[in-house]
This record gives sequence, structure tokens and C-alpha cells, in this order.
Amino acid sequence: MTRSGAAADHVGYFHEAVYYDTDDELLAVLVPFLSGGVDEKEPTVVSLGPEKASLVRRALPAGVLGGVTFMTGGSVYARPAAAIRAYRELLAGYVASGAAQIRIVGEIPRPSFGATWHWWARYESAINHAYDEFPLWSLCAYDSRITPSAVLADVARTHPRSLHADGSHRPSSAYAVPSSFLASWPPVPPDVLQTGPPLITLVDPTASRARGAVSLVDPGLPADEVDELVVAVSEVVTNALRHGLPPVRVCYWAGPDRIVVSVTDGGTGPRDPFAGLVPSRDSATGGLGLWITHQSCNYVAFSRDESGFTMRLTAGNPL
Amino acid sequence: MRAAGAPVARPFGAGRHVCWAYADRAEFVAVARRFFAEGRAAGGALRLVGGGLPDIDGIRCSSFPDPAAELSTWAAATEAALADGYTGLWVVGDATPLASPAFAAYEHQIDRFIARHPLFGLCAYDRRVVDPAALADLACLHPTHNVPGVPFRLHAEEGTGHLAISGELDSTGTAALARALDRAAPAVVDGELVVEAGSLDFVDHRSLLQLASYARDRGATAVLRTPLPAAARLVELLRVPGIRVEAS
Repeated sequence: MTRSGAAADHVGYFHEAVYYDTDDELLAVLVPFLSGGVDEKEPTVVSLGPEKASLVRRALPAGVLGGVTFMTGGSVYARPAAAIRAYRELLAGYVASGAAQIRIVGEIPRPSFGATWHWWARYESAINHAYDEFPLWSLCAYDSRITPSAVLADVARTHPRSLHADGSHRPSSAYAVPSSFLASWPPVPPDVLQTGPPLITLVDPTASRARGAVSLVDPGLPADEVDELVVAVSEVVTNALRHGLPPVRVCYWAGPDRIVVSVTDGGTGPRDPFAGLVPSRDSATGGLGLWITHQSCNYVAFSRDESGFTMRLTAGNPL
Repeated sequence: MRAAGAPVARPFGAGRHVCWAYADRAEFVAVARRFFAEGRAAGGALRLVGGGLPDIDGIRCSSFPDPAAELSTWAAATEAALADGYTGLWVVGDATPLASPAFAAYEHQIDRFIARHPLFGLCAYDRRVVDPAALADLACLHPTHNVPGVPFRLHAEEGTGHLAISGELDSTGTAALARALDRAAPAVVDGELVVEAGSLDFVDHRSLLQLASYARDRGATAVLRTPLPAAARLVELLRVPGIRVEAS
């Protein structure tokens, strides 16, 4: 079995960005892409928000529409580590069923271009590695009209190439391999809550004590979200105590709609550039705990400065 | 505390199993007196066991039963106390010289008996003598203890005697959990190793992996009965064979 289309001679993941200014421009790229997949009997998946999905449904010929699987983009793109897990399971299933290639078009929802963009940029970079074991050809759509320029710059750095309405495939000169992009860790802007003093600061607490402090600052978030944050705080403090350097300082802030917890230790943070995004079976290095942390928070930010390594965890609304 | 204050109302119900690490002889005697006073008030028969202990409130000290017959001895003594019209048997034992992994295994065996019979045991250990790690391993096999830094308790569920885990399971207790499971050697029934975790306050992924691994090594699936939503979510995330979570 061979792959079809532009990725025919490619091994592994063929990752393309699509920049569009109008719906017509988007459809000019997507319709041939999806039709080609259905024609070749390749698993062909659309993972867009409801409006764009409906646009695509209306534009596809009836014979193509029936061969396309529509996933609800919003839930897939709730958290990067969860998206990687869901897609990897989907891809593995298709390959097990004999697929020579899988085609997917996806779009990260617009709210992710705000305060939480950093971990989505890490997602876009990490998947070059995380999906590379699969014969996947995917298009990541970005609406140039609403996407901030800093986000577009990251898109160019994380997508090896782009596909255009005229059918051309253009390499990205700004592309950086994941190990390089993910190791750079640009400064992450603080949450606005962090302009005030923390409600609680703990130094070298046990994981148990650090967990207990979460409920003390909870403004009344849904119990599941608080529960997930407790799991994340436990994992991150455990990692800091085991793999970081003292002192381990844990600070808690809360606003009406969110809890922010920062965990700082004197070390340099995880060495694995894919830390947190790709599941690790190796509990000894803290990789599994970091991955669970990424599955359990609405935002996780890393930063590193002369004083050490900080992970910031957010439950509730991180925007 | 198991069945605290209820032994008179439930003379044939569960007893109580307490581990008490004492700092000196005076503390031991004070704690033993308190325990006996409660037992006397509850209408229980009182026994003091250990080596070279003074009489406490008129109760003579006897030596520990033969280790091989320990469980059956206390079962018979409990039955005899009930036959004599007592509501139960209250035993204070200074087990300091017995502290060992083998005795830890016995601690769980007697705990299972206590969970279903009116035997009240205060297991005292001299913290100046017993190695802190060994003490922690003994303490965690009691539903109640006074040893700091022991995050979880592996014990028998009151009434049923089923395996139960209470407290917090996190990375500080993962190795101790493995040892406690080895010592308790819980029964596998129909391929399942059921853990009653209704009083578990936290569980992390390491402990879930540890439970799964323990169960798999015995050809079983661990069934963790807990209301903690995180437990089910983590098991779903980890996708490891050998464990499932039942909401309780």
C-alpha cells in the first residue's frame, strides 16, 4: 500500500499549515484535500469547530461527505496532552485497520490564541515527533484575520510546510525541529493574579501539605476541576522534591474563576523537551507525573530563570 | 477509631486495633491505663502481655503467646471472655521485642480478626528501640496509630474483614505500600483483589501502578472501591492492566 497525494513519498508525519483569509480560500484547500482522501479510501477526518465544520459539510460533494469522519473540534482541542493522546489512539486504530495514510484537517479554537497559546505552540511542535510514527498527512488551519502575529510566527516555526489555495506546498524557512523549538522556553507572561501577593506560600512542603492548601484557596470552582488541580500539584511538588533542587517554593493565588499555583525549585527543570506532552511510561524520571499534570490542568506554563525552574498550574478559566 | 464508644451497644461487633509508639515507660503505662479504664467501663476483660512489665492497675503481665499460635490463642481468649460474661477482650501488649516483618504479617492477621470480633488490642512499641522504618511499617497495618509521617493505613474493614486502605497514597508511601501488601497477603477471590478505599483521601498514579502490579503478579485484577474521582480518571489515563476502579 502506498500513500497518495503530496505526501506520497513521505515517511511519517506530513505536517502542513494552512493560512486563509476567507472561507473560500479555506475551502479551496480543504475540498481537494478531503476529496482526495475519500477517493483513495484513506481515513479522512475533519476536526473543526461547529461553524467551520458546517461550512465544509455544505461544500463537499455528496459522494465525498459520506466518507469523511467529523470530530467535534472543541473537545479534541481542550488540552494539548489530551489532544495528542486522542489523536495517537485514533491513528493507531486506523493503522491497525490497514490504512496506508490518514488525512486530518484540524483547527485549534480561537480562545487558545490568548493566554494559553504557549502550550499550544509546544503542541504544534511536539506533534512533529509524536505523530511521526504514523502515515499521517494533516492540515492545521489558521485564519489570518483573527490569529495574532506572534501566534502566526510560532505556526511558521512549528510547521515544516504550508499548503495554499493554488495547490502549492511551500517549505517554512522559519521551521525549527521540535527538540530546538521546545528547548527554547521563551518567557511566559505571568497570570494577572500574580501581580498581587500569593494567598499562601509554602517552602519545602510535603506533597500532602501542598495538596491540602489547594482547597484553602478554592473560590468555589467545580469539584472536578479542583480535584484535577490537586492531582497536578501533587505530581509537580513530588517531582520538584525528587528531581529539582531545594528550596521548593509553592505559591497559591485565586480569583473568582480560577486558581493558580506556581511551583519553583532551584533546578533547571525537565531535560526532555517533550516533557508533559508525550506520555512517558518512565515514572522514575517524573515524566509520567508531568504528563498527568498536563492532562489535569487547564493551563500549564514552564519558565526558567536564574533563580530556578517554575511550573505554573491553572484550574478554572486561564484566560 | 474503630467502633469508638460503641462496644457496649455492640458487644459482638468489631473491636479496635491501635498501634502506639511510646517514648518511655511512663508514657506506656499512662496509655495502657487509659485503655484499660475504657475497657473496664465497657465491661471488657483485661489482659496485659509483654516481657518484664510491672502490674498495671492490678493487672498481671503475662508473656506473649507462642507466635505460631498467636491468632488462635487470642480468638479463643476472646471467646472465653464472652463466655464469662464480658463484652469483649481488651489487650495491651508491649510488642517491642517482637517487631519484625513476620510480626507485621501477624498484625494484619489479627486485624482481620479484630474487624469482626470484640477484641481490642493496643500494640505498643518503644520508639527508642524499634527502627523508625520498621515502626512505620508496623503502624501502617493498624487502622489507628500515633506514628507521624505514615501516610496510609492498610487494614481490615470493620464488619467484613475485607482489605481496606485509608489515608493518602502518594509517592512517600509507594514502597511502604508494596511491603504492606506483601505482609498482608490479601486473598484473591475469583481473580479479583478487592480493596475497600471508602476512606482513602488521595491516590496518585504511582500507587495505582503499584496496586496493579501487585495484583498482576498474582494473576488478579485489583478492584479499588473508592469515591475519589481522580482514581477512576487516572486509571483511565494510565490504561494499565491489573486494576479497575469502582465508585463507592
